[in-house]
Amino acid sequence: MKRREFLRLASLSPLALLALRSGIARASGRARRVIVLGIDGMDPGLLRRFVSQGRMPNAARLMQMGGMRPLGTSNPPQSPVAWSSFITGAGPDVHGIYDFIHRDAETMAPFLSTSEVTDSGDSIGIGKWRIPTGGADVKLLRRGRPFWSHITDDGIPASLIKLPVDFPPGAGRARILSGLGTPDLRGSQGSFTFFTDDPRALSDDTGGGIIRAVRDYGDGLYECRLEGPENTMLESGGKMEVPLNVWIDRGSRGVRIDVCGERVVLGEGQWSPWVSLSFDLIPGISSVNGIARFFLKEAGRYLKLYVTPINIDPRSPALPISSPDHLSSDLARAVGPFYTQGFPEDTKALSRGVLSDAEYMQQAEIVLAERMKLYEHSLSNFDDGLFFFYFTSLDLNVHMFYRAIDSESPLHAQVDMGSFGDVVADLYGRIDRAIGMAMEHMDDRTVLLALSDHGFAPFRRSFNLNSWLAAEGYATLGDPYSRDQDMYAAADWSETSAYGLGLNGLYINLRGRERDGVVAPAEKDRLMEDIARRLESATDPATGRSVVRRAYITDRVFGPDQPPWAPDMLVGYANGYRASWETTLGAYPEEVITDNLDPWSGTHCTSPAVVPGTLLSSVPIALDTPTLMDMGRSVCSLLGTSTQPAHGRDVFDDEPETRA
Amino acid sequence: MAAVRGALDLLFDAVTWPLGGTRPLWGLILVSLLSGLWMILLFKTASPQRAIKRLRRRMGAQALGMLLYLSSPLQVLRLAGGLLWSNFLYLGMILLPLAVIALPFGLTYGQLEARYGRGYPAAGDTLTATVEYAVDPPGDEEVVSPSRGLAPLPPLVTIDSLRQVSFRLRLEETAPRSLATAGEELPVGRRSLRSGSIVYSGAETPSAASVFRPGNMIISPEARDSLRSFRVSIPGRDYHVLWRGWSWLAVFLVFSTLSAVAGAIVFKVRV
Repeated sequence: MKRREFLRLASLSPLALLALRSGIARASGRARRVIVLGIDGMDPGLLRRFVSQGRMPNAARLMQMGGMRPLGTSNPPQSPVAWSSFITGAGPDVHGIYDFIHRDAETMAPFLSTSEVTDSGDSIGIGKWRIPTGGADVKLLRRGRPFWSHITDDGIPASLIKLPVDFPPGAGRARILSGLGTPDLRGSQGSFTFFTDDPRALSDDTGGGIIRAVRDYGDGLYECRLEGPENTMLESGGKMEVPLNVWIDRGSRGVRIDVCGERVVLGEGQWSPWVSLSFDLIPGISSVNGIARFFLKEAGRYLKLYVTPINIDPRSPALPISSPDHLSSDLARAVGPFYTQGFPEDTKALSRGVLSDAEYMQQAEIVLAERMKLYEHSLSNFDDGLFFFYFTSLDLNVHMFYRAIDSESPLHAQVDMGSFGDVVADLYGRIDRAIGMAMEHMDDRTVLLALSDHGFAPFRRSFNLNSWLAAEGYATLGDPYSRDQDMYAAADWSETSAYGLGLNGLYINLRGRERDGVVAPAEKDRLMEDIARRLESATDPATGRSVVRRAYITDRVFGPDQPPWAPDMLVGYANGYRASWETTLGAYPEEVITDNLDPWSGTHCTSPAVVPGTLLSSVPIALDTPTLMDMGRSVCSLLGTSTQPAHGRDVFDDEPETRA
Repeated sequence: MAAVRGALDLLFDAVTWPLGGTRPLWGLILVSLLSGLWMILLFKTASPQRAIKRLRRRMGAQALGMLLYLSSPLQVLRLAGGLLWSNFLYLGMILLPLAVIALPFGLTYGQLEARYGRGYPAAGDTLTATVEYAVDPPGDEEVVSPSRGLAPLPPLVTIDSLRQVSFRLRLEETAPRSLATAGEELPVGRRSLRSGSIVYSGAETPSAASVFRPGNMIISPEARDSLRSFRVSIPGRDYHVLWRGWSWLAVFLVFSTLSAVAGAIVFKVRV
């Protein structure tokens, strides 16, 4: 090789490498940029309705450009399961997520399906303090290879903001901010605090939040204590707290809240901005940071002060919520602090009557406004590769306001239609604006996909699966007075052959697997067939309608090798029905089917056929029946990656290669 | 005390003036570099440079001695003890210069915090204000008189036991802004739009400590009978350097350290 030629090649090779890294060399890809909007709960039927009413002009334009199809969802059609299927291109048998909660068969204790915190237990004790030496570990329980790893392995950038079921985000080359599945600082999926001296509001129910009794001793000061996370450095354990001095001025109907060096002034009906909270692990040495907003419901005869769940502070996160670590603080610096918990809309506060419809909608509006700010900022910084952004507002708000569009809902007559009749349509309109913003960001080599994990169905009647099992002779109650208590307090396990847990799960009390198992393994198949047949023929005595559309025996749907936490059966409810809240945590209420009187009036935890998702695309969709599991492979194909996910089909290819 | 404060304000106004038309980061870098320089020169003046030089040589010899006599544990122990004692001596030697630096550093810290530590609130932003009275708080309508560039928002929360009234202020204009209460006109935010000028976030009755808080105005003698203090929550600000946001203190520490190290080399300062 001549010297000049060598020098020319030597000077060109770094450029070639750079081109490869930046994706310029992606000749085979149909797109240079792919924007994926993950819109949780966007229903194809409602979408068509609002498009035809002219409320969603951008979605209409997108449908004309490429097309729209119902998108096959996962079984069961629950968000953690469905988004895990989107991420891995496979079902629960691969990603391991079958429900929001799973159970440990040996202890019968329920646990969150998506992540777990493990403590090594190694520590040094100094007085009352316990200094951990092994450290705690937060682990993502979703298994399988995420589709974007094929993209980043080719040096193509990928940015996934508010990504569901990815807490904590794995280390990799993608920029990820965790969404659905991210806990609040107390480790729950969202736990509010409500301070009041109104005796009518006091309750020892701790579901979704804590109601704390407080008192004014005549000087206008309420000395409150806001409960935070567990103090893992204290030998005796216990929750950390921050003092909260609330000064009330009944004349002006306002309060001043002194907390962590900040002063917040609020009038009745007003929300505070984010307030930084610091919980001391060891005073002066170590602390945990969080943020919360305050809402003053009343400052008259009684004090009624609502505090949002304490969110992980994105500026200095106590737990890993982004990859790289500094992404969350960079975003917070650009757009201000934001909700980091996976379920930001406080549906529990509305269900428990702590917030009214109007107050809940104010909070939901704050969430959506924040999310749109984050979206605008992230979109404007997107140049190349994959951009995924997740919206949760449609899902949670339609859950709460389906009663406004469902004339058969038991709560429909009580909805103030003047104020809330258009809530669902307005939300779809807001999502349409997000679609419009992405369309403005498109060029001729950008593909825009707007997709949802599932649709929606009415939740009119609650099915107490455990009560049904007891009524049909599959369960026996040892202590009938405890039937309303959670975690099978009433069950006589020696006479119980099946039980329900979670939103769609049914388990056989199997000998050798369950703590008090009684069903012999040889009996399992016959028993499941028997239960499935009787569930599918169950009817609602009040309406005469079928309750269950189909009962799926898990190992016949997904194969025989299921993990020990997998339910034995997935109950696919019919339109209008869902497992009761009591069923989800193992109670046995008196009646089998009751009216659903909770504002949570829309559902998707039915049979997958009842609630397909939606796919909107700026390029023609070749497949008639695309599914959520196909989308990862399709995105990789659009970007022309050198390797592709092992599962799924390319929905944009006329003759897609089907993978097992 | 007021005269000292006035002189300091003037001094820092003069130093920050040349870069007042640029982004505040440049002014902060300039002041940080100058601060590093004067601190190292002050250290040189106030410290026993020859003694430090001798001590450092001895410490070097003790460290090398330990390496040399690794085979003799007793010797290593003796030298380690000597090194430990030298460290104590060194700490004793730098105690006086550090004490000499502490006062001007405290004054500089207060000035920089007031000038670069807080954001410049934009029109539309909301701040929380608390007025503390020397007597019982007046009625709602008398708390805030018509003010410039600010709109008090209801409610005005009166806490009788603390003689305090707290309320929110919505900022309506860019500058200047002031709030009139108890016969006193109190500035909120900057008086001048130039970067590096003081951001006012309160007012207080004069004391020795108020010289370290230039962001607080001194309440006039006429108003002291009725007004004790005034405080507005102005959020802190970040500086974007190398794609990341940094607090003013982080920027100050980096650039003052850089200039101090450079100064130590140029002026042959033994540290």
